[in-house]
Amino acid sequence: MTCQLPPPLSDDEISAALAGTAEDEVFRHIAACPSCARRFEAARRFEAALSGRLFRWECPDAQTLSEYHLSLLSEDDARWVGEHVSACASCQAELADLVAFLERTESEPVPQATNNTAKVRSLAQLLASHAILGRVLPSPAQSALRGGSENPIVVDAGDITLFLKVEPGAGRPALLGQLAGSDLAAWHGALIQLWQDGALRATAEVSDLGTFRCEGFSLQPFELHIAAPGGPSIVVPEIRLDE
Amino acid sequence: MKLSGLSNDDLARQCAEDTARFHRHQLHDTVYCLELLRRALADGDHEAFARVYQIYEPQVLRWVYQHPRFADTSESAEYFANQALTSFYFALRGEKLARFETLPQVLTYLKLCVHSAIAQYVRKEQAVFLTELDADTVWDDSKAIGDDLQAAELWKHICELLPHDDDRLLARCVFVQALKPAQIARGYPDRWTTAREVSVALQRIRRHLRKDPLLRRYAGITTADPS
Repeated sequence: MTCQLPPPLSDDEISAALAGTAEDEVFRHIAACPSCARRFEAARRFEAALSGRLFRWECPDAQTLSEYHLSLLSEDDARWVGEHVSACASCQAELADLVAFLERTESEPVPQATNNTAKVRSLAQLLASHAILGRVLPSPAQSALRGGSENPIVVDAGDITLFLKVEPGAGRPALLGQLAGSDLAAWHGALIQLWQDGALRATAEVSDLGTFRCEGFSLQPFELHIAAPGGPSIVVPEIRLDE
Repeated sequence: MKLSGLSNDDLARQCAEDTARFHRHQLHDTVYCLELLRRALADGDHEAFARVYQIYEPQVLRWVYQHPRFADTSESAEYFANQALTSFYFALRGEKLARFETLPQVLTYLKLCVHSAIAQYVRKEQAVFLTELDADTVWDDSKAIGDDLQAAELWKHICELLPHDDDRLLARCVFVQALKPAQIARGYPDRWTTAREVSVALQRIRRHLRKDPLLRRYAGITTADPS
């Protein structure tokens, strides 16, 4: 493919267009010439590929950076983070935000409505785009005792399968869970959150064998959130148990 | 009565009352809340942690609304509150709580978790923004070759292509920190006096990098592509 409006754009004109600093004539050329438009798109893709992989790759994560500010890091980590911050404008800006935020007093009014202040009380809604969505698999004896001692509930959550059973108690049932999967170690120590009516009712921790036991909730539909220490999490929208 | 003799319910009730007194600027005690936090985090008592979550969630939500970057996100305050309380749990469980002696210190850490949740989210959003491509962009199959190229390796390769310190610094400013020419000129006035000077140097660097076969493959640009 050759330029429709010769001479073709130079590499530097393409770069200037990418940076948004090119003359109007360059943008008109890109709009009218498929060959130069293709070159511009390839350059943009090149830029995106590099930026996507390299963006803040050396920066400590936000939690570490914040702990640095509160002098909670070990001497070695603090030295490394301090050296990094002195040369990183992005981390400096993030720390400035933190300082301003920590200085805000409790008595200051809470800012009023923004686009994202609508009340969301369903955990699944809350975490939908950030967690693996667990799906309760149909049980052969669904009409009978779901989750009762005979029929554990089985939840498919990607690489993890979750088995849930209810242990009857005198007004105080317990939820017994077992995670199964090839990478179970990643879920050791995960925090289990059991939500009902939009509020957290009970928590538990996943053992090294992938089991957990949750108490202090009522036998009503509930949502389950399993957050692993390393970041991944599973949310199961609606689970119904019968004793 | 000794604190150890109180049930989680008793402690939670006292802690909730003390928290309400604090918000009304009245005299309040902190021992009940501290003991509840100690059981929840140091002892791993999950009933106590559920109470901690219930008591402090409203405060955490208020902090989310107050955060200077919250309005820039597209998530709900409840999402960040959940993230912050979950991070708080992982960060302070076990022996780690012992680093804090007073309730204000623990709550400052909780507030820090709110900031970290929002700041980390904003970073991810920025990274996504930087890599956004048009829906009709066709990716070449050869992109898979470079998919496993880690950031450190990629950066090392770029440094090999750019032997001069100034060029490396510019590449870092643009690709690692996503700075604009004007910001770079302001940040390094001893090296570049104007944004225009930065732009010219960047054009040369981009021209050079775009010719490199490995980077082209990594970006999924075909050999036939003239750019």
